[in-house]
This record gives sequence, C-alpha cells and structure tokens, in this order.
Amino acid sequence: MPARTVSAIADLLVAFVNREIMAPGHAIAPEDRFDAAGVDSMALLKVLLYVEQEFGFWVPDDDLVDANVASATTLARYVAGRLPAE
Amino acid sequence: MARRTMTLLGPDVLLVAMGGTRPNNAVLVIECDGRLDAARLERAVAGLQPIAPFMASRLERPFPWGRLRWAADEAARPPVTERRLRADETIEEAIDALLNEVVDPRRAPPLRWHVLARPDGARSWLALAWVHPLMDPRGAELLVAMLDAVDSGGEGVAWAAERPIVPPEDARPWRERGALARAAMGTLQALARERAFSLSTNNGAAGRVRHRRRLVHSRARQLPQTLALVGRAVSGAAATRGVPPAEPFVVPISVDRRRKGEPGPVFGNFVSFHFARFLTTPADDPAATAAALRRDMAEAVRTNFVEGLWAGMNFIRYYPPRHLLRPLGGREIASFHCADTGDVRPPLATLLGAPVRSAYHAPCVHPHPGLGLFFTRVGDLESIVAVWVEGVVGPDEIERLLDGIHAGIGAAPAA
Repeated sequence: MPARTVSAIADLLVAFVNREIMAPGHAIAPEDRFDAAGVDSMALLKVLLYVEQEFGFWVPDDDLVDANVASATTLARYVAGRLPAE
Repeated sequence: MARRTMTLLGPDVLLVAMGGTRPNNAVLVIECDGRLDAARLERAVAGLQPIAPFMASRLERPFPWGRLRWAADEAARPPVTERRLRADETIEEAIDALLNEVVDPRRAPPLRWHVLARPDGARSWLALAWVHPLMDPRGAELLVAMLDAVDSGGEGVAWAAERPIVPPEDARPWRERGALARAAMGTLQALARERAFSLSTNNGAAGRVRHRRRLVHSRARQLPQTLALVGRAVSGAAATRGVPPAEPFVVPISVDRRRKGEPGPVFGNFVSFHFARFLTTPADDPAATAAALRRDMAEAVRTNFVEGLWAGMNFIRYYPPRHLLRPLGGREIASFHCADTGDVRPPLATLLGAPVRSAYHAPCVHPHPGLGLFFTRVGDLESIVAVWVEGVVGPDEIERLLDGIHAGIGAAPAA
C-alpha cells in the first residue's frame, strides 16, 4: 500500500464527500467544517463507512469528537494516526 | 402558461390515506424580537407566487382512476393574515389552532402565512402553516429563503427562480428500485414481527393535535445522542405506565434526502425514514443507547435500508397503500417520532423587519404513534418541540418528557 499522508487522505475524503453527499456545484475543501457544509449525522455515517471500506477500521464512538470529525483534514489526521507505520 | 402539476410521491399518498379527513397541518414558526412587517411580507409573497405557484395549489385526482396530484393555481395567492394575540392567549395556543385548522386542499390554498404579535408588540411570530404533505419541514425553510431572496430583488429573484421547486423523477431502472425496495421491505417485516411498545397503543379516539416548545442554550450534537436522551425520557413515561423493561421501542427518524449545500426541491416530500430500535432498559444509559443507535444507523446506511425504503414507498405510486401495510400485519411499529428537523440560519431581518430570535417546527403527527419530538436550532438556541395527539399523552407527561430531555442535554434555559 502506498504511504498515506494526511494530505492524500484528506483529498480522498473530500472527493468522496463531494461525489456522494454534496450537491453539484457545492464542493467542499479539506479545511471546510462538515457541519457548516450541511453534513448531518446520517451523512457523517456515510463518511465513516467510507473510512472503514478504504482504510479497514471503524471509528469507535469514543473518538467521534469534534477534534477528529470537524472537517476532512481533522478526520484525515485522525485516520493517518490510526494507520500502521509503513 | 401551461398548467403545472406535481404527482404525489409514495410517502405522500400514504400520508393522505392514513390521515383521512382529519386536519393534518404542519407549522414552521419564526420568532422575532419586535414587530414584524406584515405589509412587506405580503408584497414578497405576491412576488414569489409566480415562481412558486404550488403555494396555492389544489389537491386533485384528474379522473376517478387517476393519481392524486397537486395542481398549481397560479391565479390564486396564499393568504397573509395578521393579528395580535389576546391578552389571555399564549403563542402555543395560537399555533395549536393552526395545527388543527381544517383546510380542504381541494378547494383552498394549502399554505398560509400568519403574522402573530404579542399585544405589546415586543415579540412577534411568522407562522407558515401548510397541509401536509404539500412539503416537508426543510421545504418550508427553503420557501422562506426564497421569499427572502424575492424581497431582496434583483439577483435574489433570479436565484429563487432558478431553484428546483418540485422533486425530479427517480431515473433509476425499475429493476434496481425493485431490488432496493424488496430488501427494505424485508427489514420492515422483521421489525414488525415483534410487537413494540407505543404510548398510543389502545388510543382509539384521536383528539386534537397539540405542541409544546422548550427553548434552551445548547451546542451541536449527533442525532444518536439526541435520540438516546429522548429514549430515556420516553422510557420513563413507559415505566410509569407499568410497561415491562423488555418491551422494545421502534422509532422512525426522518432523513432528509436532499443533497447538501444547495436548497434542493421545495414542494413534495423529500424525507425517508430510518427505524431505530432499542429496549427500555438500555435506554436508562444514554451513552450506551447512543452507541447502539449509531451502530444501527450505520447498518442502515451500509445495507441501503433508507434508500430502499424510499424506493419502496415510491412503488405506492403504482399500487394502493394497503400493499405496503399488509405485509406488516397491521402491527403498530412506531413508538414515537424523532427528528433534527432543521438548522435554520435565516438572514431574514430585512424581510421581516425584526431580528430573528429563534425558529422551530411543529410537524404533523398521526394518531399512531401520536407523539413526535423535534429539534430545531438557530445559532446556539435550540428548540425542543413535542407534538402530540390528545389522549396519547397528557400535558403533565409532556412537561416531564421535556424536563427529562432538557436535563439530559444539560443546557441552560433561554429566557
């Protein structure tokens, strides 16, 4: 598996959100807050299922705090920290 | 101009069938500090009517065998009324009257704008009331946003005119929708196999619809956490009725299917449902309940249940509603209804002529489950709204429910 940098992971997450959740013409950027973009509880679950499918783990409830799931960048940072070192 | 019609989608047909001739209104309330400018509002409504003609549509069936549809009446205009509350009248009583107002959507505009004010004018309310299912709660918020755009003129009018106002046809192949629907129906049948506890059980005679609102300072939460708090409060009500702790709760949760970031369709019902299920005993531990509900919701997304239910309900366009209900064996599967109905961010001070303080939805509830708990936020002010059918629960129980949820949120009450 190629090395996954925070930036590369954030790009994957942003591409997923813009493809599956956001309306056309309303793309979000890595630093944009999910809640401000309208990503609600059900939409966030779709993002977490994508993380599970792409990175192989389910984000536990205790880690679902604002610092981890506020934006694609914060979630990417969390995911990168959970991935095994290359 | 060609006559514009909108065929009712499956969930809407089902709601009409279940609602019968009973009043079935929903209300969006926007609370303002100071006096609302009703004349300005009326001018904006007049300007919006050509863009959003379904405001004044009629419910009709073109032939005895035809599909129910809304037909836009472009010559009519939804009424804007203005009145002051009586000295002995509360805003809750005024909104309750709107919830119960009998409007025949075959003959009268299904949507009405009401301006209500306290006798001293220090506080006023815009109440947008409509016959459900002309639109869902988010549609009402979008309609107000369009009204604001029309009021601002120029580019605002163009913005409003370009928005889609009715849902598009589902373009997926019949085979794909059928597979989704069959899978979702299997999940519903599994839910219905075991009888669930509902406060509305044995409630034969449906009474008036009522509501209560509690305004609190609050911070954002995820829906599973909210629902866990609601579940604990409702399980308390169940305990006082001697319900065994092993009785399951099944709760329909509204899911807005619009894409995020743009308004999306205004008229029509764009809501699908996820059915959360939990037992009374774990509901005593909100953290554990929230975790269980999150797993449950993730599974619903994983298995396409929400999408499948939506697809399945749309088959009612082709088959009578009883075809959907029959496989459930007439079981009452809903204990109560819960939804984060909106996160209203209205820059409406110019349109309304007064700053917005808060906003909340009082959606319609049906005799079964007969109780709904809804959450609407404006900034850091959150409205917790209980809507119930008289006879299912009493006002004292509602106060205890709101107290329990309020205590669970741990928020300070707003003045």
